[in-house]
Amino acid sequence: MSTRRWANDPERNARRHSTCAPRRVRSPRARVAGSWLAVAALALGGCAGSGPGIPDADAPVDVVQGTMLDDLAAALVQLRAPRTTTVQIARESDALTDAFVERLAAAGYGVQRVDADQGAHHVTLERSAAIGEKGEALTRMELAVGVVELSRDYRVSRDAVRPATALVVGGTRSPLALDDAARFGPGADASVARVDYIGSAAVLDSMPLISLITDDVVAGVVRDVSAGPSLAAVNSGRVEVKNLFYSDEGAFGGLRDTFEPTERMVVIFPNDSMRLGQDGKQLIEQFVQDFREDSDMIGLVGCSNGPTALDIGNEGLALGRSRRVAEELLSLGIARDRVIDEGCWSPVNARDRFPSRGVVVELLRRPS
Amino acid sequence: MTALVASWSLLVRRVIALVRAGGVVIMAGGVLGGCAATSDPAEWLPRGGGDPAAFDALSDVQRDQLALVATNLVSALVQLPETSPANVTLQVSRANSAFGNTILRALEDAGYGLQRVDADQGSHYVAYRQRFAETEAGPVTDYELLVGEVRLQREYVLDETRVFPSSLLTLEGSSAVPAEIVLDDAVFREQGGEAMGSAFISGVRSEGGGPASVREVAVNDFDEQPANRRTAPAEILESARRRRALSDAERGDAALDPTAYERTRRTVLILDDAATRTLGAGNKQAVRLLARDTREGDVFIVTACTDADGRDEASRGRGARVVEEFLGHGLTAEAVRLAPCIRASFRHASDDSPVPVEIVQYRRRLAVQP
Repeated sequence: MSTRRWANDPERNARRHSTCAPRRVRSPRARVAGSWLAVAALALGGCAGSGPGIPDADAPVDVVQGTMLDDLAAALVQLRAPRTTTVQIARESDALTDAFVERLAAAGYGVQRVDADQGAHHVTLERSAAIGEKGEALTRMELAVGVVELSRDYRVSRDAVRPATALVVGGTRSPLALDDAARFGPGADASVARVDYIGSAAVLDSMPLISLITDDVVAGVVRDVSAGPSLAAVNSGRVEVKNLFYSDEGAFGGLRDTFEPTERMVVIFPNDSMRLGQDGKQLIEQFVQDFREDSDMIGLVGCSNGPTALDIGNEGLALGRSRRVAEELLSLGIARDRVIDEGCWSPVNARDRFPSRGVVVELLRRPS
Repeated sequence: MTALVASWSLLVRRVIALVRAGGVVIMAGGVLGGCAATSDPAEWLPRGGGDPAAFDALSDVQRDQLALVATNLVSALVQLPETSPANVTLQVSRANSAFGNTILRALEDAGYGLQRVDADQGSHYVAYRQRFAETEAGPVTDYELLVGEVRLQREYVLDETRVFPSSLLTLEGSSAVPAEIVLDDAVFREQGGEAMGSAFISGVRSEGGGPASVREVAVNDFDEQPANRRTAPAEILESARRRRALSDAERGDAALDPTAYERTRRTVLILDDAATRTLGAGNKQAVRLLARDTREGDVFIVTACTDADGRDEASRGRGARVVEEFLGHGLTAEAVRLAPCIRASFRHASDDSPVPVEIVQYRRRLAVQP
């Protein structure tokens, strides 16, 4: 099992499937949030032309197509417990999606038919044509179930199917075991029988800002930003947060009430810099080894306390640093909603309360 | 009470007489007027599989009758607080009977999450029963639907062409107030009645108590609708589910006491147009993040209607959609409330530009926390 770095990294993206997607065959309602991956691969790889004939989404699902669905379903079962999870699916779905949902139902998932995109575990499934490194035609399957995304390319012949790439997983770091040899037979390429973890798709562009409403704002007595230090700003998830230098309580009081810090470390950044560096990346990768998806969150406090020469000021530096660590966590497969990042910034030193130029990283665990 | 029982008994006899008499008339009409529209059996099979053979012995009319009965029971079920489709997943076994298939399909259309089990696992296991009885008033068919501890039962009279309720709906194991449950019994009128008119009883009675809500539904021959113009079962179920969701969301006071609550967060979701029910990835992520940081006692106030006084159905639908999204993340109905309309902007009825839905998160002030 390998760990993949930040999904926005073009070089790594291009390596992800080592294929590109010249022609996308979308089922009418299938939209996978992570489809930007395929688009990026297309843009970078420069592939053109048509892939092989991908069956219509409403065509009956044969054994070959069913094997690919089985592969995805077997992975999903390890990521979301069937007996306690209800998935949502469009009321009028195509044959391919219906066949997949039938597998989920047989595995024990609750299945809820909805008329739009309701639900925390809304399912979208997409099948498209792709071209491999050697120009061979591949079939790409992309599945999104809530924040979890799975994607894999397959080599399909008339009566057989083999995986052509690793299984790419986004939005989770849960361990996954693949049974390629059993599912695809002895001809399956052992080198792709692995899982690559990537960050979940970015939806920030379309995400509305979540503002804090403080008593100061309500009373209209907040100080002019230009005349004094700012008291609130927006974090990496477009949620407004308080400046912890001036506040004892952070913006995520409700969460902090229900979780207990179990581990803590500080990632130090160079002066006036948001570069994490290789050491910082390794430190974070090591830190998330203890992360338990069912009970944990990760709290970040990005800090910049003291004089800075940068135009973005202490605020930009503090939140930029926590954003950088948040991005790194996401690239390691931590779901965005499992990360809460805040900041503390000031032109003067915070003494022992916060580091001058670092990010406090805490592993928060719900008491069992 | 005696008078009520007597009048009820009389009504039952009348409705049975109505079905028998009307059945002959309508059968004759069918012969003279040609074939009525037939329904596709697949319409009444659960999407996740089902047993088409269960319908083999049934005529189209009998299938439609079962569909009406299943819809009638399930439309009541969705209104119970213990079995709200937004946050309850039901456990079901594969249906082998026609009634079972129609029940499962109705549950599916009502928006329930259905989890397949091989025995009677789960706290919301679905069971159902159909019994035939000879009563002093004639033969009736008794249909029962059980979901966990909740039981709904009602008698119907059926003939070759029509089906009408012949009893109140009996409800057990629910804290619902019978008078607040709206039965869409008017749909039975679409089958038509006698030229002289007749009626059946409609209402809900709760466990152990007398009838809590009773009314009479008149049926006349001119009420009959052609098959293709009758209300679709899915429409009835959607309407019942939405009515319940709105009732829950609008029940709580949206104007919270400022001494007890403080506003902590605000966000504005932008939906593509006034009619859409799709939130989109960004809005869903915002709701996910808001729901994540929820302390006990927090209340979310959703304001979807900012351009009208009174009521605006499209806005209510949008607001209900956002409320539904919160409930999907495990929040209780008490924690998410839909605010009434406030006229703060102008929007023409034909305007299809993006529309805002505001969400404000309120938190109990520490001093007044219980």
